[in-house]
Amino acid sequence: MSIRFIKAGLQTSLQDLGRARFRRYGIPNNGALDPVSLQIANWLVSKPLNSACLEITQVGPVIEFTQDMAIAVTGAHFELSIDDIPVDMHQTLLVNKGEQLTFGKLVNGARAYLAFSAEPDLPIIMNSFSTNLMANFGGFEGRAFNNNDTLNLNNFFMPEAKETPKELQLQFGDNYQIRFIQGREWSCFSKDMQQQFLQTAYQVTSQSNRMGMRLKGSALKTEKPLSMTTAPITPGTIQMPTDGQPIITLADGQTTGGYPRVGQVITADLPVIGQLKANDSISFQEIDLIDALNLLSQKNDFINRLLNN
Amino acid sequence: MPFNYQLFINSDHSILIEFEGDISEDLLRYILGAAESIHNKPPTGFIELVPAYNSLLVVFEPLEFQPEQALSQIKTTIEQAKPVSAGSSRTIEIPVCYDVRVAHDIDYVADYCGMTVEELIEAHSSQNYTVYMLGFLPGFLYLGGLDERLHCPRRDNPRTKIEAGSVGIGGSQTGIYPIASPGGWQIIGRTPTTMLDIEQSPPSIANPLDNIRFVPISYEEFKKLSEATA
Repeated sequence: MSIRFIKAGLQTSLQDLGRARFRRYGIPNNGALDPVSLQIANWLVSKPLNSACLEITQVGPVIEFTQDMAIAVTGAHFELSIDDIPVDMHQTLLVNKGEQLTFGKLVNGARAYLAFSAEPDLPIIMNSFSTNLMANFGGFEGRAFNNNDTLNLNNFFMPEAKETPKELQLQFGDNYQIRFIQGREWSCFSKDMQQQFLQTAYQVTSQSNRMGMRLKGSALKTEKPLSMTTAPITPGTIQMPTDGQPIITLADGQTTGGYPRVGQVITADLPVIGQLKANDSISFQEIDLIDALNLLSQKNDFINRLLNN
Repeated sequence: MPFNYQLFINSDHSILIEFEGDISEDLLRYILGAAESIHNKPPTGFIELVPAYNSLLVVFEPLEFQPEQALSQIKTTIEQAKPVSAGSSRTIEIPVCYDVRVAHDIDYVADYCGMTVEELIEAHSSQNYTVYMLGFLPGFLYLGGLDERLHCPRRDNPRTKIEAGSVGIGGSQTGIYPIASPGGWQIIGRTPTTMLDIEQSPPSIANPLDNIRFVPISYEEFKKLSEATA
């Protein structure tokens, strides 16, 4: 049993919720950039929520199924069709042997997640199926899929059909306010510069990838570069390089960094960052730690309540 | 703990411990000792520790993170922490081919440093380097101990691809690219040794406090060893 990529799409890779406990060896988390959408996709095919999905980026693939199976697509809104018949996202789809799923126009968002009712026939590397595209390990041969690749599957099952609760059929905009808590070097920037950071509408640039989101806005340059000793960073760290244009570290980002840490995007807001693409805009809103933790647990409760009903 | 330190809320899922004092093996032994103590007595929601030159990051599962409790528990744990002993570090020999066929910038660096290529190889390979931390790339070792005479600025034009195993000098640092990557360091050699082995636990060839020695090998030996590890 397998799925075959007739067209691979711009960057289609295998991701789950990533790998932890290897940061001290320089190995990042990897894993879905929008873990919320990945979990909903897995729920639709009745799999553990941390199971591996295809992460599909901006230009989607054309996929042929070599056996009947159940799939589901969540996340970025794509126009989908199976053998030229339009189908909806956010539901369990039953596909038959030989049918082709085509990802058409991207309507909004940046990354879709395709879950399937089987397991990848691939080794688990450091507790995860996620692909490390930089060091080329994990996932499918440590890389994104190419045209004509075949992903072998095993442990196939047929789940009950479900539909995503309306509240979780997410649609994405192109302008977000992202919340953060102060970073270690926040206070090294003058009050004026802090204000400027909070008031700037930043544009997502095309140099962004799974390692980091590079932003462009009015440059925030200190008179002298702040001298920094290389220190650990995590997904969500907003670094300010010497050119004054912030970079948000993402799931594949380096484990250590040497630029001032302006802030930390709250965990609750990281998934939506994974749905932004070049020319979308974001601004930053500062909140405190307690609010950040409350927002995360509210969001988590909300999702769990809907998925458990 | 003979070093002053401060705890910071680093994010909604991590606590950063920053130590005062110059970067040294002494400090590193205390940082690793603190890491060991926290690992042995983990606060609620603990996931992992990332030691660095003068800091230590404690990472938590955000949904289980209890900042106040974690801060006070880590404080107590660190107070009682002992430095790890020097005896636990290993010396790891890494064969390096300094032949110009793989050492693209060795002539430039020798020239810049005002020495012959032979003198450069002798200076680079006669030193004991201490692993201070890992980061930047999977399996990349931050090494201390580069001879001051070998300090050399990075290239003006970073290369878009540097081969895995390339040994470089960037400013006051020397290191090995564990995987192929873009980079701006001056390349003075290449090792056939696999620096990142995902099948192994741990996946890196060395840990903080280990000593690294570079052992010069000929181009022919390099070719032979490369085939053996391929």
